[in-house]
Order: sequence, then C-alpha cells, then structure tokens
Amino acid sequence: MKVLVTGASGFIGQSMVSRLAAAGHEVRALARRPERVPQRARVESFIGDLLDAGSLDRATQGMDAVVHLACATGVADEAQVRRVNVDGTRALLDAAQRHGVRRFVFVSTISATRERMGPYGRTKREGEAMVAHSGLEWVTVRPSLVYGAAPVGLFATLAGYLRALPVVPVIGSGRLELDPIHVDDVCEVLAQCVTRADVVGKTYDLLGPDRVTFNEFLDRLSRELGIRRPVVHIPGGVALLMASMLGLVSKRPPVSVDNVLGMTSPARVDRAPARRDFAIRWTPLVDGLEAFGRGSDGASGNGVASAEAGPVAGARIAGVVARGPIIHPTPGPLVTAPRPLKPVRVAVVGLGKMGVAHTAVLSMIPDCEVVGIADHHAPLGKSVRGMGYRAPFFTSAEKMLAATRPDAVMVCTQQDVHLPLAKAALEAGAAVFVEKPLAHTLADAEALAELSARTGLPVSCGYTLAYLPVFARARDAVAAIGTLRQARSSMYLSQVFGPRRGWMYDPARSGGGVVANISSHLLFLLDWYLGTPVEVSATWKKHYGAVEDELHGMMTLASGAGVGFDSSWSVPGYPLSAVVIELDGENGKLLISNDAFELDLKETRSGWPAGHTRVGHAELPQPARFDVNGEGYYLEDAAFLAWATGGPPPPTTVEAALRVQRAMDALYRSAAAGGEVMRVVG
Amino acid sequence: MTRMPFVAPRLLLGGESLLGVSRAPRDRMLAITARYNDAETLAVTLSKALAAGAEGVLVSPSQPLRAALAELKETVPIYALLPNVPEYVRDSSDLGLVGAALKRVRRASPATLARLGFTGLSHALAVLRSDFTGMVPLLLELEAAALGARDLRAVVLAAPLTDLALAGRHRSFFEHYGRFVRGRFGTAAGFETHNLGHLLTRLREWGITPDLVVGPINPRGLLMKPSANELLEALRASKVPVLAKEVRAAGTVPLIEGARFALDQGAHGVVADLVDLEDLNVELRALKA
Repeated sequence: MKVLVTGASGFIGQSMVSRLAAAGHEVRALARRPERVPQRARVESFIGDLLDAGSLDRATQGMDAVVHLACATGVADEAQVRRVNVDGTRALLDAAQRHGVRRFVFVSTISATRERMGPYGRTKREGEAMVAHSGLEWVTVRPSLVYGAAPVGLFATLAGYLRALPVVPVIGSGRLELDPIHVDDVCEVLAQCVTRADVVGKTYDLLGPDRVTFNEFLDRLSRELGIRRPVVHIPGGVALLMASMLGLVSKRPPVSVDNVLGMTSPARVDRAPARRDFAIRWTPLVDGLEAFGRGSDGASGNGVASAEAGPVAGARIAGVVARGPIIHPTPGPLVTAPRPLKPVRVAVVGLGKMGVAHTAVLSMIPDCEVVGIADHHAPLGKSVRGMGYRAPFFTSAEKMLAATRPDAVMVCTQQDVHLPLAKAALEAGAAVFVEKPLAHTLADAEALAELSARTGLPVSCGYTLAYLPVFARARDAVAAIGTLRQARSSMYLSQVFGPRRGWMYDPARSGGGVVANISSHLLFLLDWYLGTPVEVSATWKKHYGAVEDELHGMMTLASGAGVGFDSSWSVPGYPLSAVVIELDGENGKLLISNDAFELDLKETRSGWPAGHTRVGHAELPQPARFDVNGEGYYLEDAAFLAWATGGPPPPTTVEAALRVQRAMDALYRSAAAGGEVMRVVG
Repeated sequence: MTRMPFVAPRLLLGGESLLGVSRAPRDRMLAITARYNDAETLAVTLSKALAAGAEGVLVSPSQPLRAALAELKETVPIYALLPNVPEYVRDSSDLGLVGAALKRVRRASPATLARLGFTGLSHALAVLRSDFTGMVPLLLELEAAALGARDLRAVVLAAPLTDLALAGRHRSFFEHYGRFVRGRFGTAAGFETHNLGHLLTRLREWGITPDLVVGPINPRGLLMKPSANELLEALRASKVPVLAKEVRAAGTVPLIEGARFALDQGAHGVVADLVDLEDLNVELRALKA
C-alpha cells in the first residue's frame, strides 16, 4: 500500500516509517525537517506542514492510507495548539477525501480521556470527533506514555532531566498510575491498523502491559540509567500555577499544563479492546527499560551508534547473549505474521508430507478456508480426513478446480507435474503456490513464469528459509559489509546413505537430487542476498543412484566476486538441514547460519556498528502463529495469501524462483559436462 | 485395587535431544547426541537425575535408552513421548508411510503383535476409515513396546501428531486418546505440542482435560504460539497441568530464570532437557529447590 505518515520525523514517526517500509509498503514521510526522516528503500521524504494546506494536498495524492501522527504538544499557546491539532487535522482530512484516500489512522492520546484536559487533550479529542465523522475508513489509537531508546520525545526528556538535574522534581504525589508502552508496540498496532478491515471505526486505548505508579517508573528508569537523584514532590496546584506562568513567558515551557494534568488527573481508559484485537507480543516494561539503559550507554560514548541506530535500537531485545552490542536499526521484515486481506478460499493438490503440512497450516490462518484437497492416490484422502480435515477430497485436480473454484491453489506434488497443475489453476483464475523448486526443468519453470505474467496472477514458490527470522533479518545486514569480495556457502543434511526409492530420487520426476530437493533453498538465499550469478562451474557425485548426492560449485556474480557452493545429503551429523553462508566484503564479514548471524565490521555502516555483532535466532521476533514442521510454513503460506488478496508480494515470487532455477540448471549442466564453466541463462 | 490418582510431576528430565532434534545450537546438540549414544553414560545420567530430584524422564524410544534402562537396577519412571517422530519420518522418506509402519510391525514381539491385533479389532471401524482415533492407538502399541520401561507413568503424544489433529480440530480424537491410554496402559495421558496456546484454548472449549500437557514456555516468547501473550492468557485460564519445555529459549536464558518464569506464569512443572543442562546434578537440585 501507499501510506502517508505525518509527523514522520518525530519519536513515533521515525519508527513508524521504518516499520511500514519494512513491511513492504511505499511510504511518503511528511515532515518539516526531512533530514530526520529515516533514509531507506521505499521511503519518500516529503517536506510539508499541517499549517500548509497546499503541502497536504500534494502529500495525499495517490495515497491509500494516512497515519496521522503530527501534532502540537508541549506548546503553551492554546491557539497555536488548536491551529495544528484541529485545523491541521481538518485540512488533512479534506485533502485525503479529495484524493480518494481510503484509510485514516489517527493517533490521539490518553490525555483525551482525562477527567481534566489541557489544550493538548481537548484538541486531540476534537480531532477524534472530526475523524470519526470524516466518511473515511478510520481507526483512532490513544497511546499512553510512549517510551523507547530514541533521543527524542517526552520519555527522553525525562531521562535527560534525570541526568542533568541534581534533584528530580515530581509533580504531585507520583502515585498516579501509568501504563508505559514501548514505541515498537505502538508502531506494530498502527501498522496493523493500516491494513486490517476488522479494526475500522474503532478507538483503542493503547496501554503497555505493566501498570506502575510514576514513582515506580522513575525508580526503574533511574536504575537502568545508573543514576540516583533525590526526588522533590511539587503539589499539583502549585505545579499547575507554575506551568501556566511559564506558558506566558515561553512558547515551549519545560513543563506544560498538559504535563501537569497528565501527572495528576486520572485517565479513563480500557485496555481490553486493544488486547483482544491485537495479538502482539507486548514489550514488558522491564525489557524495554533494560534496552533503553543499554541504548543510553551507547549514546554516551561506548561505541553504540545511537544516531544511526534510530529510534528502535535494540529496543525489543532483552537479556541478549552477545560478544558485541546488538543494534536493530530498523524492524525486521517479519515483525508480525502476514495474513489475508480478505477471506480467501484455498485448495491443496498433493498430500505427501508437504501437502499435509500446508493443509494443517492453512487451517490455522485467519480468513483462510480450505475448500478442496486433491491427490490421485485415494487412500491419502482418507488419511487426511482421518486427521480431522473435512474439506472435500478429489482424486483429480481438474475436477476439484471445477467444483470448488478456489481463490488460491497450493501445488505440493513432485516437480514434474508443477507446470500442468499450476497452469490449470491459473487458467481457473486462482493464485498459485508451488513447492520448491519451481519445476523439474528450466523449460517448465520458464513456462510457469510466463503463465503468471500473462494471467497477472500471483505465483509464489516454497523457499521457506526466506521466512525464518534469522535469514530474513540477515539480509538487512548484507549491505553493511560493503562490496562483496568472495563468499562461501554450504547446506548439508543426513538423509541418503544407500539406494533410495521414490520420486525424489528419479531425475525425470524431481529434476535432480540434493540441489533440486534440498539446497535450492540455499540457492534462493544466495540470490536474495547477492543477486543472480552470471556463470558457474560444478562437479557432482552420485553415490547411490541416478541423482547427485553431493554437488560442489563455484559461481561468479556480475561484480566478479566468487561464491562457493557445497551441498550434500549424504554426510553424517546433520539430522536437521544446516545452512552456512560466509560473506567477505570490503568493510567486514558476515557469517549466517540457522542459529544466528554474526557481523564483524571495520566501520559502522547501514545502521550496524563497527566491531562484532551477533544476532541469535532466539533473539528475533517470532511472528508465526502456528508451528507444524517448523514455523516457516505458516509465514510463507500467510504471505502468499496476503499477496493473493491484494497485499504486497513476498520475497519468493515466481521471478525469484525462476532465477534460482536458472542457477540450478547451469550448475547441473556444468556438472554433467565435467565442471565446464556454464553461463546462467536469462 | 483402587488406582492412585495421577499427580503431574513438577520436574522431569527431557530426552528429546537424544533424537538429534533440538532448538539448541547445532554444536551443542551434536555433543549431546554423541555423549549419550553410549548406554552406560545415559544410565548413569538417568540415575543421577533421579537422585537430584527429577521425578522421571520424558523420552521417546531409542536403542540407547532401552539399553540404559536395562542396565539400571533401579526403575526409572518413564513419561513416554510417543511416537518417535523423527525416526518415523526418516523411515517413511525411504519406505513410505506404510513401509515405515510395516518395519515396526516386523520387529515387534509376538506379545506386541497380539496386543496390536486386539487394539486393531477394538478400533476396527476407525482403522478402516484411517481415522486418527484408530491409527494412533496402533502406533502407540508398537512404540510403547519398544521402550522397555518397567515403570511407565504416562503416555504423551508427540507434538507433530498432536498439532496435526489440533489443526484438524479433531475433537473426538482428543477425547478418545485419554480414554485409550488410561485404559490400555493404565497410565496418565498427555499431549506434547508446539502450539500450546492454541491447544489449551481448544481443550478448554471442548471440555477435555488430559492429565498433562507439555509445551514451550520461556521469557523470550520463543516457540510460544499463537503468541506469547495469548499463550500465557490461555495458560492462566486452563486447569490442565502444563509442563514447560524450551524454558531456556534455545540457550539464551539461564535454566533457573527460564523455569522461574514458566512457574510464575502458571506452569505446573518443568521439563529440563539434557541439552539444557550444563551440570545436571547442580542444576536439577536447584530447580527442585
């Protein structure tokens, strides 16, 4: 989607822009100071102002959704607050209506629910009413005190006071309860509000998972910062008087009337609706503050580049086990599980191990209905029914397509029938997912890609590793090593130690051995990280039958860099398949495996710090909502269905799968020719 | 004779890593499988674990385990994790699903074959329909016989099968499983799952109360499905005793911290896998305390 974010240079805005771009949205970042907007792919900085209706008119053109964060806060002049928060919001709504923007996500505040409201709360409340009557698809979100590791915002100001002042003034008794919420959680909810249909027309109070008094909060923050300061309590009435007087002499006083009311007047909030509707991993306060403590240390000079790190540096990572600092400059691409944008009817062809796994996974994806299952072997239909799956079973895929008319079809058969089955599905108007590799021959793969282009229907391929958090996140780190000098890679599995039967070991049906059936996953990762090779050479060994049991190759990229590729399914010690990729660049090295990725950089780049950084699989968000044979299948199926229902394309498109097939084809041609160098076609 | 009511254990030693399948880093997992492939080492470890406070072992049938149990004079309370799915998957990729089943039938003793026949007859309709309610009992017969356990306390269905039936919303299977296991083996009936939140919610909705459930709980939210928060909410609402596994979150959290988190959140007990333990004696004692 194309999303306009107002207030993009602010505390929440910076995170929000990165979060949306990482999710594949095209983001237009509206800000008065564009230099503070995160610079990254799919983000367009746009200079504008809520007080400049012309800029709003231009900014909303071509947008599908608006996330409205910009506001005047901490400003003493109520007229000025009103001009921005009320008039500016009205102008933005008008522009959005004129240009056919569909979704409007309004970020209000829990100050709009207080018993006593200041100018900020009052004007936000008015903004809520305007949004609700705009005629657009609207969602309003009222965050509580938002915290995070960025050096801006109210929370950072509080930390600054703690550092700078000999005595910390606390307004009121400090016993008023707060529900501080991490900025990542806020952005996650807002990102979901952009796309989800079920939240339209709702207002959510957004509160963190831990309720604490302000005194407790201050105490915890002090501990994290390692700063102890005596506290002086200022009675609420006195503080209100002081704030009013300061407002007369300063446009942005250190304490505003709204700040005082925020510390003394309770808010009427209800956490239940957000908890019910947003199944996210809410960051516990202890984790969020711990990360803030680390981020603050870095800012004060231990080498962690907080400016590069941006607003969410390491914020979600608690108790990290690492030899170097961990920084997460932007949220990874897999922070939440994708989901269909509307109800979708799906059919499955092929009931081998993968077909059963996909059937199970599809049964657990919201808004997905399995409407038909097909396999030419009738007993398999009985077996799947015996597991509880009640979708109608067919022994012919064609009959199933005619009877069920699905929106999407999962082809989980052996490779030699991928093309005819996918063709039938595409011609029936269904999006198609095929298990990897795309086909048993390059010709079939080319034909399938051409069919997808001709019909305009999505075709995705089952390169599951792209959906495992560690491999997905590692891709963000590739740029940090700079120009690639050389790479080595391997994928091993202990599977074949003697002659085997079945289609997987028949080259006419599977297209090959270990590379086609296993390590095409590795070829996908290499293509995704580094691009497609231009030429290759390879040797193979066929220990037990007609297909290769191991293959050793060298690939050359367009840049001239060499990429080693080793693969075997006949080595002991690998009950689970294991991938290792080592990249050597002019700025350092990146080592990627199933367990973790590790960077060793000469200098800070692309948001990754100089020195050693290790990011473990277990330290990354795990967004899959169901696990059968691993978590990747849920994510790949959900991403495919999101695409099939109008969402962004996943990384495993038919074009990407075709590039993998071309590299595989060249490796096989080279190995068959005794290691001769072969060009990669296309 | 009246059977004592089952009380779910608070601390079990887990042996899932003996199968070579674990969330721990590869090097660690390889070290564990190499070390405990030796029956004598495994026997000593089991004995030490019981002495340190473990109330039993959650484990799948394997040759080293069978040999270790035979070697020990003391009886080891076994919470059987059945079937041995990784081995079954390996066999089925070579022999097919039916071939893998036949391989087990061929190596079964006459007594096991007799039990298999009886169980097959008593589940004839379900077997003819290839329904889980009939097929899984047959599988359990074959696999339980391979355990060689003298003190079988519970039969816990392995996660891949639990989760397939869960996604299929196969309520009658979940209902039948408990009845079958308690009646046939005279033990408690449990489920292992990789989707604990989903399972607890569904069991509650169906009014089914197994004797125990084993699933991942840890402070990182790793493997906690559908999400950490939803799982913990389901845990709080559930009356089923839950034994937490994966408490170390792939080695990123100290064992005691992970266990404390799980218990604080409402888990009944903890399964500490061999791969989770650096010093089995010390850590199990600390956990028990």
